[in-house]
Amino acid sequence: MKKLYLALIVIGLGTFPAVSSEQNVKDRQNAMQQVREVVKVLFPMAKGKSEYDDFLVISLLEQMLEAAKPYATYFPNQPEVGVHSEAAETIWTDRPGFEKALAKFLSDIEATLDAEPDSLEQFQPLFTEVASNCKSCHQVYRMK
Amino acid sequence: MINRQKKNLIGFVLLTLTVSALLFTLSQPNSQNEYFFEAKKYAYDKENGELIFYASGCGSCHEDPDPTSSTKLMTGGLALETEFGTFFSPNISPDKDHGIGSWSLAEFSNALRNGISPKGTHYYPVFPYASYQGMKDKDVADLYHFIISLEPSNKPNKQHQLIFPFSLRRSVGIWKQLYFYNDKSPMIMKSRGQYLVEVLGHCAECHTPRSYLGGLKKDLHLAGSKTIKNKGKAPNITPDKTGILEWTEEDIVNYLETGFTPDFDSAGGQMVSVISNLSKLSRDDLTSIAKYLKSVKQISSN
Repeated sequence: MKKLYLALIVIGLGTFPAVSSEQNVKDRQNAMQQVREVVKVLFPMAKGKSEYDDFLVISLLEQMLEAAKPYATYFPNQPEVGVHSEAAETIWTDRPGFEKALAKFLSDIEATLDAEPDSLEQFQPLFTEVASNCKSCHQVYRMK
Repeated sequence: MINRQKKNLIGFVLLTLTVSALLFTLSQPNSQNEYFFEAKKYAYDKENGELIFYASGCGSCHEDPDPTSSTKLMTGGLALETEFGTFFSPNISPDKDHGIGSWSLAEFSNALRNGISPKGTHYYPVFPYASYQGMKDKDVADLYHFIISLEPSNKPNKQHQLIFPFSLRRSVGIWKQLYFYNDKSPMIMKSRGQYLVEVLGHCAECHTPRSYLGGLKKDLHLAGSKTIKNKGKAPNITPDKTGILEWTEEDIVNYLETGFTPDFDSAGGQMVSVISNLSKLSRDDLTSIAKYLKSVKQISSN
C-alpha cells in the first residue's frame, strides 16, 4: 500500500509542472479574452461609431486593468514544455523586456482612468495609446 | 580488365565534368539588360515612391531592428532564422560604402526584379525578388529615388550564416532555374489588388508553404505556412473556412489599418510591422487588397 502511495506521489509530482502550465495557459487566455471584450466595445466608440459614454469607458477600463494586472504571474520563470501555447520564446529569453511592456500597458490604462475623459476628443488619443500596446507586445512576445 | 577499369574511370570523370559544366552554366547569374532606364527619363514622383516603399514593406526587414532606436534608418541587420541557416538583412540606406548610395537605377532594378547584385552575384530568395519581378518600371524608378532620399547609415552588413551547400551563393542559380526563371506569372496583373498582394506586398512569401528547396508550393497559394521567426504560423488568407471566409472586405481593411481581427484579437509577430507599413496606404488601396484576397482560390489548410 505504501508503495502505491509513493508511486502516486511520484506520478503526481512528475505531472505537476505540466498541470500548472495548463492552468497558466487557461488563466492568460481568460485574461486576454476579458481585455478583448473591453476593446470590442471601446474601439468602435473611439472611432466614433458608437455613442461616447464616459461611465462605460471608466468601468470597462477598470475591468481591463484588473484582468491585466496579474498577467505576468501566469508565465512561469522557466520556459514551458509540452504545452500548446502561442507564447513566444522571447518571454523567457527577455523577461525584463516582457515585464516592461506589460507595465507600460497597465500604466497607459491607469493614465486614461486618471484623466477621466469626459469627451470623445479627450478619450481618443488616450485609447490609441492603450490599444497600441496590443501590437507592440504581440510583435515580440507572441508567435502570431 | 585494366582496360575496363580505365574506361569506367574515364566515363566517371567525363560524367562529373559534364554535370559540373551543366550546373556551372545553369547557376550563372544572368543579369538582364535593364539599361532602358537610361533612355527613359522618369519624372520622380516622391509621393508614389513613398507609397511603393510602404506597400512593398521594405522597412519590415531593412529597418533598424534595435527596439531602442528612434531614428528607424534602413540599417538592416534583422536576423531571419530558417532551415537553411540565418540570414541578416543588409543595409539599404543611401550610404555610399555600406548601403546602396552608389547604385545606379539600373543596378537597383536588377537587384529588385532579378535578384542580382551590382557585383553580378545572386541574392538569396529571402529577398522577395520573385514577387518584385512584376514591379512596374515607373514604380521601381520612384522607389529608387525615394530610398536614395532617406538618411544614410554607415552600419556594416553582417554575413549570412548558412549551411552547405546553401552557403554557396552560386546554388541560388539552381533555385532560380527551378522556381524563378519559370515564373513570369506576376508580370500579368489583372487588378490593383492583385498587384498590391502578389507583387508589392509579397504576401505569398510568408503565407504560402515552401518545398524543402525553398520554392513556393503553387497549389497551396496563400493557404498559410509556418513563419521564419519565432516558430509561429502565417495563417491561411484564402476565402476558405480555415482562412478568411467569415471576414468581410471591411474586416480586412480594418485589420490592415489597425491590426485588430473582426474578433478584436490583435496581430502579432512579423505581421505587426507589415501592418505598420500597410496602414499608411489609402483606403482605396486597402479595399483593393481586400477585394482581391476575397477572390483568390479557396484552399483548405486542414
